[in-house]
Amino acid sequence: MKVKMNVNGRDYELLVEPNWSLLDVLRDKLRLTGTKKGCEEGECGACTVIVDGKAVNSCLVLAVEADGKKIFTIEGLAGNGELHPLQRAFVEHHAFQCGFCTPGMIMSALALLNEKPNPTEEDVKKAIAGNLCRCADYTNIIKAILEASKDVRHIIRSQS
Amino acid sequence: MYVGRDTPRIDAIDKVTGRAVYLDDITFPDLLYAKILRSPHPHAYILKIDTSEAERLPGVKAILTFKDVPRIPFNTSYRGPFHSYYPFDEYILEDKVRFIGDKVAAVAAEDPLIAEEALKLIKVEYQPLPAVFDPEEAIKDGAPQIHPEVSSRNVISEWVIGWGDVTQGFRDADYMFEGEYKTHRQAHCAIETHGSVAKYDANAGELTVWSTTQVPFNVRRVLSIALNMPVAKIRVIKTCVGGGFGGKDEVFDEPIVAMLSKKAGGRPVKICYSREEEFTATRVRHPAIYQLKSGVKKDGTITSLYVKVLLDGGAYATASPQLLRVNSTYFMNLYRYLNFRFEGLVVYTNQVPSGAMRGYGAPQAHFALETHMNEIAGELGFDPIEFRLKNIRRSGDEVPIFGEIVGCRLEDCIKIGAEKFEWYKLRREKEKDIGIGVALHSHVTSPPPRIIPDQSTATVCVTEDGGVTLISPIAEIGSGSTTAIVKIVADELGVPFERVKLVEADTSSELFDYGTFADRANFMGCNAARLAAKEAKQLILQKAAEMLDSRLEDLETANGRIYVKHSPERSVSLEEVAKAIYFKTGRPVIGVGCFKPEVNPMAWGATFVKLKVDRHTGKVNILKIVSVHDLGKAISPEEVKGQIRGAVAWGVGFSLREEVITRDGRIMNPTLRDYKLCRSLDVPEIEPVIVEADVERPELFVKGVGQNGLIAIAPAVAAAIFDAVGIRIRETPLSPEKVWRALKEKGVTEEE
Amino acid sequence: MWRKFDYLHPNTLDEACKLCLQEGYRIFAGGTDLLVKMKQGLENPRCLVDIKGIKGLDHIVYEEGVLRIGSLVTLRTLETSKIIQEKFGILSVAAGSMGSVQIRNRGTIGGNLCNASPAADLAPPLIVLGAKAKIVGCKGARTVDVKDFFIEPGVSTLQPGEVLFEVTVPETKRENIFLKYTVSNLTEIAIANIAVSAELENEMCKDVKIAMGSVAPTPLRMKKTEEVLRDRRITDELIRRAAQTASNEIQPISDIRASAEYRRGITKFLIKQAFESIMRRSR
Repeated sequence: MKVKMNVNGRDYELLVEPNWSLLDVLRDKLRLTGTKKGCEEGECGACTVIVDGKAVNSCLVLAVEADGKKIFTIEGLAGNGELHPLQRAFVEHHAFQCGFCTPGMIMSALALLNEKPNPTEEDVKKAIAGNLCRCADYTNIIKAILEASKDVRHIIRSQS
Repeated sequence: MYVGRDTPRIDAIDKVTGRAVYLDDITFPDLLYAKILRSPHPHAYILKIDTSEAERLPGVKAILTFKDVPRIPFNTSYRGPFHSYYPFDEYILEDKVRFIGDKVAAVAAEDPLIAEEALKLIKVEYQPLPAVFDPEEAIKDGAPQIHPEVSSRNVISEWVIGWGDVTQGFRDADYMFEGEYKTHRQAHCAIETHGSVAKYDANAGELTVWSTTQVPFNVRRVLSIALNMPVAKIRVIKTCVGGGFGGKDEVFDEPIVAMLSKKAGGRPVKICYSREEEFTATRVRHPAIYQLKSGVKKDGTITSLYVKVLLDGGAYATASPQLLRVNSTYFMNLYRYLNFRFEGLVVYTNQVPSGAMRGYGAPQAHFALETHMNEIAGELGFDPIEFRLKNIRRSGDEVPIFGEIVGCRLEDCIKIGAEKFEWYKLRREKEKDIGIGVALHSHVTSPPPRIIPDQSTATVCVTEDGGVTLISPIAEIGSGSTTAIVKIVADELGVPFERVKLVEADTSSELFDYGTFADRANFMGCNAARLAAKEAKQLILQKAAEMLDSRLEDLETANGRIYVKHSPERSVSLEEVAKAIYFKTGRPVIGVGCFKPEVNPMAWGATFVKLKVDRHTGKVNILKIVSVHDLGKAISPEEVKGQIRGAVAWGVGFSLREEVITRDGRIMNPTLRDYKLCRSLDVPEIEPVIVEADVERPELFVKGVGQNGLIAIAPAVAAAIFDAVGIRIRETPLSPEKVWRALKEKGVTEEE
Repeated sequence: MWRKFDYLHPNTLDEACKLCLQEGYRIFAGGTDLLVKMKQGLENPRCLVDIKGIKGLDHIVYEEGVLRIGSLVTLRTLETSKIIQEKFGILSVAAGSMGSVQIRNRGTIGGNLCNASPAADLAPPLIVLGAKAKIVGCKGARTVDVKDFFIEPGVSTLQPGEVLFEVTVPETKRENIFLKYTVSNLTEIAIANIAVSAELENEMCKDVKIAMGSVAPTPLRMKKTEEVLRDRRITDELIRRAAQTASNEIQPISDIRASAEYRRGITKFLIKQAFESIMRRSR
């Protein structure tokens, strides 16, 4: 089946099978391997991407459903060699260790900030409740997201 | 100085942009995908295995059964000849299976779906055998024998150690205490699953393996045994690891993908475990049953401790023999007793194999030991802290296996922690259903020399333009060890941090290192790198002394320059010196460091927990944890705190909610939906506290910390629950239902 | 990836119904239950019929005292909808208690009901609010009370060729509450959940509806417990009696999440929590 999807601002036209997940197509066909596969059951959130403005587990989205949709992955964030405020905040606040959950975490955070530019700590915790981290205790991640929320507004507009 | 200061990590950009290359990100144009057929039986012979129909499936390129692989036994955790006491009880594939999930056959195909379909077409005729799932049953007479070729009575290993005469000690005591303590199976649940890629070059007889492993050199060692290939013909490359925690501390599927690649004419073959396979076919924490008996004098001195432990090793030995020995040390290192005896057994059962997991037996041992200590203190009316201070070890004590204890600041950890936690104030102001508890821990930094003669190597090269290339085999698995090593080298050579380039060595560098486990990465890696930097610095200083017409001892380095002390206007840049050496003397500036520790700087700490128990539901709400660590030197303080926090989160999971549930050898909850990891909504208030060594060069004394935040959480929680609602639970996890039942039994639920 | 299947995305409900008459053809909306079951080998459809392209299934309309929710409305939309938060709060609370943001952005009210898990968090609130499910099929439309929607675990009243169109909820001026008990946090499946809708006059309980999930093969309307409370003054003693009745009325099983005995204990706890909360609010 033919699908036309826009990923990180670029249009792609692909032939996909119905039984391929969006996750597999992003990673294997488009070679956007930043989005990770952790469980394929919608529990770990490592595969989180943004589809038409909403954070979803790409392991539970069929590739065929992406037809006509606008998709954002971690690769779409840093522009012109400059880190997005969220990425900068993750670096500055030591908000990663092994880094495997990081792309998904950042995408969930980005989706939150798009919806709620001034989140509370509670808002952040709820937004990343679907993203598992096994290395740390989420404290630095939450700090980083709250920090990034302070200067992210103008960047978000230019990304969408 | 970079040591002790926080900088961005060297792997930061790659990780926050998604550019870091993990195992599953690797691909080749002619890549094949492998899947493993797994046993539905807990114990069975394979009488017949017919792969003909599977072979005919279009897209299938290679199939392996026990008939296609070398019949060479090995142990997946084997690190060297000092492990010759390990049972070599595993084959790449065998005609016998010993747990539900054990390997039966393997397929490599053009895509994962075809491989999956091919598995279904393999016809296997099993002869099921009686199985045993309980370690206490496994050692009884008449129990099914799981590895009769290497063990009797299903015993993987036995270990007895002690001093004095415990029986006499009991006679000398005023009080005796006894208790049985049980711990359960925990799963690693690294977010990245296991996997490897292998490429076999038939012409050269060479094998290249990429693996998400903590121990690349170990993998090479075991592969050379299992495949009967020379070490130099095997290259193991570690990819970026998405969490190890001990779960990637041994060989898993590398031999299989290597053989598949060989059979598929050298095409690269990749395998990535599914989340279900992570639960059912990797490793779990050793379940343990401890019996403790102690004799205590009226004044609180412990005269005797007797420990008996039975560990469930599961279907294969892996690291069980060593883990059992290390287990005894946790009981010996914390307290002084006149008499001590440890009797331990680790046995085979038809369950998923137990292996190394964050803590390496320490969480189990400390749950037993520290719960027991808290019980004694409670019964005798001692404040738990005072009781500890009376009995703990201090620097200068001699302990078996480790030798002399150096640089122990355990007492300081207890006192500093008590203050930050407001221990005495909380003891006085008792609130309903709120309780506090304390527990101590000791742990290793790298295995003690008497267990593994440890070593690590590194090279430091000052490049022709004054830059620095550091080649280190240290396996970065998330804790920031490689960043720490770069700091050490930057400080030693006096160059900006950004000018040091780290090359993560794979095995072809032949810079041997055992890998990242036992919290050894910083201690071993930093010291090896420092020695290498020192050697390179010596070459630089010798030339600089010539160029500056001064004596060697009058020179110092800073900011990429070499200065004459007291006349800093006389200086020369690192670049100038390097150029002089390279182009005038015709040699590169390379220092090699090989570090062999003489002493194993043990790490110590104390954990304080405050919690509230809900009598209606048995739910324990942790209000605050103070986790104090004597860790030598915090090279990157924020990273260290992050490690402590992460380990504490593991401890909370181990204590309250993570549990691998098995029934008749089958794992009933092999999903992240039913195995409850800590989420952002679950995190209690955690205060990590760093207590550094007071020695002249503390960074040489950098102790491990990654595992330690976890170790004493469960006993501190158990003590706090008793403090809150007066119930004693001696079995982990202290789940809501368990607490609720205990409350009901005692008659202190809501109907009070 | 999953085992091969066909994929169709009809434009009308009519087409969807006709397609679903066929053996092995399954309705596909959010996929958060179905795709996971397919991965685990518990479901093996021949064809997924994606109804997300059909117009007129994602409405939230509140007019003439009736709330109409299209079956494709996502849990996230339910959670954040102003009208639902204001007028039918327990639906918003229940929707927000399910899974993560990522799951709620995909999961639908239709999926939650048609998946027919006894733990479906939307079921108890819909039942106590007297909601109805409007079903469209090849043979015409029919309406059933949500309390009759569940037949057994995993089986709803839907016949082949039928699709859930919308859920209607009459306006409520009563005291309503939804509570969900899990071991750790709300992303988990409930060990037990409860919805209560009570008509109170001073301390008198004039009428009450109670429904619980995860404590029986289907979401359970707690008629005996309601009997204990109806037309009586709410006192601590009455709540205790109701709790005891409820713990006997449920038909729980023991599974990996909890034992039947623990579920009985939690049921008592939830009844007490619910009524203590309602009484506090109404004072």
